[in-house]
Amino acid sequence: MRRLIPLCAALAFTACHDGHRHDEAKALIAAKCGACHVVPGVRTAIGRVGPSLTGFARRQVIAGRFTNNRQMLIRWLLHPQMLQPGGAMPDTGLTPPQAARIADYLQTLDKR
Amino acid sequence: MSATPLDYLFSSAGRRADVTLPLTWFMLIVSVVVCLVVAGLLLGSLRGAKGGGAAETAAEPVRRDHAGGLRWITIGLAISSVPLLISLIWTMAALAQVAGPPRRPEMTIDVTAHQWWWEADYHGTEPADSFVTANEIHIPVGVPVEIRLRGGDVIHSFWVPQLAGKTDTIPGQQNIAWLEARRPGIFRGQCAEYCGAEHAKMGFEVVAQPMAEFQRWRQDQLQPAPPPATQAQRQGYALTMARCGLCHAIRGTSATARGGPDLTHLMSRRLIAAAMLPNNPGALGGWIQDPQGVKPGALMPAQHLSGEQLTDVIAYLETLQ
Ligand code: HEC
Ligand code: HEC
Ligand SMILES: [Cu+2]
Repeated sequence: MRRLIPLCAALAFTACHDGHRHDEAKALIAAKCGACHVVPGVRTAIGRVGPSLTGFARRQVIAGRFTNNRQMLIRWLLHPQMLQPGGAMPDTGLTPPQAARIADYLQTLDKR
Repeated sequence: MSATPLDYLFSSAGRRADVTLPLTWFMLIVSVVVCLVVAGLLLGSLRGAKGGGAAETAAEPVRRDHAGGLRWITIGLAISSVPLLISLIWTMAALAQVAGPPRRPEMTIDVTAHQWWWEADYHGTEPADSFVTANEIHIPVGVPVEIRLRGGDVIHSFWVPQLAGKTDTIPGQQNIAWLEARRPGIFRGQCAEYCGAEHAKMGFEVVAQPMAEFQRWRQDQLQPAPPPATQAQRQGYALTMARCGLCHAIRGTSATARGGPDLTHLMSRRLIAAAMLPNNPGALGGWIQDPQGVKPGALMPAQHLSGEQLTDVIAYLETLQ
């Protein structure tokens, strides 16, 4: 029992730590994407303009065209208008590190 | 930026809220203490009654001489009348202080509450000195500002907790409120009278700024919208006039409707959709294409634009600095 306590504490801490790892990505998504996409884990992301990003990590192609990998996803997030001119997704003014953080979060969305 | 909910309970920034905040706390503390005391006495009396249960239920009620009973009532009354009297006097004094500004307001803003957004009309000495804006009300710091409140459709209530208490806006009637900010800042406001589906998402912001800065803002707001410059902007402009001009006004163009917020200086605002979304291309695009997705029931219909059209409209709106 004695041993369990620090173990639980450690687990709780890592869980907590993990919970905060994507805070910045979630805040960015709430501010810049939520009016267009449903994004699990971001309460205010309830938009219906673009596809829901639920289970996005399992999706094979981005926007029906580009292979879904981290590199490509970051490019998509930075320049959707360049990759898909005239698409409804606007350039949202992300910096490359911000796009990378959002991509890392989207790649955790593997539940359908 | 005021971020945490209920932070107006801990900091006030205006002459009226400075008066009411301590009173709020006094009332809150007295109420909690009274609740606790009453609950305590009730529990105590329940405990005390346990023993006598058998005798009390007998056919013949047992008559007891509660010699101290009446005295306790007197003591109770005496104790409770003290906070009551204090709150009465304090409330009267506070009401007298918040009722009217200490000197004549130098400025009047007409604020009209609509389902579910706020219109603000600034009047100058002449028509060319007047303009309309929405959802972001700027005031100079340190001077009383009169707010003439009108209800556009149903009853709403104008509330900027860090600056002042609530004043209802009633259709067909004009109510007067006043604000005086002690320090510069951005203060969240909220409709405080249930007014329909999106009542909760009917916010606004009051931006209090030093007089010089306020005057600069005012001069900027007086400018009409610039003509579109690029190809995308021109296409966006045409679409905006055709599709959005039915409800929105953009001064300097043919869009003059008052059914929705004035968009002449849309980009100068921090937030959109009655302070519900940040003002950036993403949120703006999402809002324009499908307001019903984020604010179901809002009186702006989904626009069903194609991707190209949406991109062009955003390109044009971004010129409305
Ligand atoms: C049928 C009327 C109507 C039409 C057409 C319309 N809107 Fe609106 N719009 C509104 C109303 C009403 C609101 C306020 C909604 C709210 O916040 O509840 C609004 C809000 C907005 C806002 C937020 C403004 C702010 O400061 O909060 C923007 C931006 C906007 N509309 C842009 C557009 C654009 C661009 C178009 C055309 C593509 C358009 N609207 C077409 C009625 C309309
Ligand atoms: C104005 C609305 C709008 C905004 C804002 C927006 N998107 Fe999109 N998004 C779309 C649309 C529409 C599509 C579909 C695009 C297509 O197929 O060309 C899309 C596609 C995507 C895709 C590919 C989804 C798939 O299954 O193919 C991802 C990922 C994505 N968006 C992420 C984001 C992120 C992250 C943000 C915020 C930085 C964002 N979007 C902001 C409208 C938007
Ligand atoms: Cu309301």
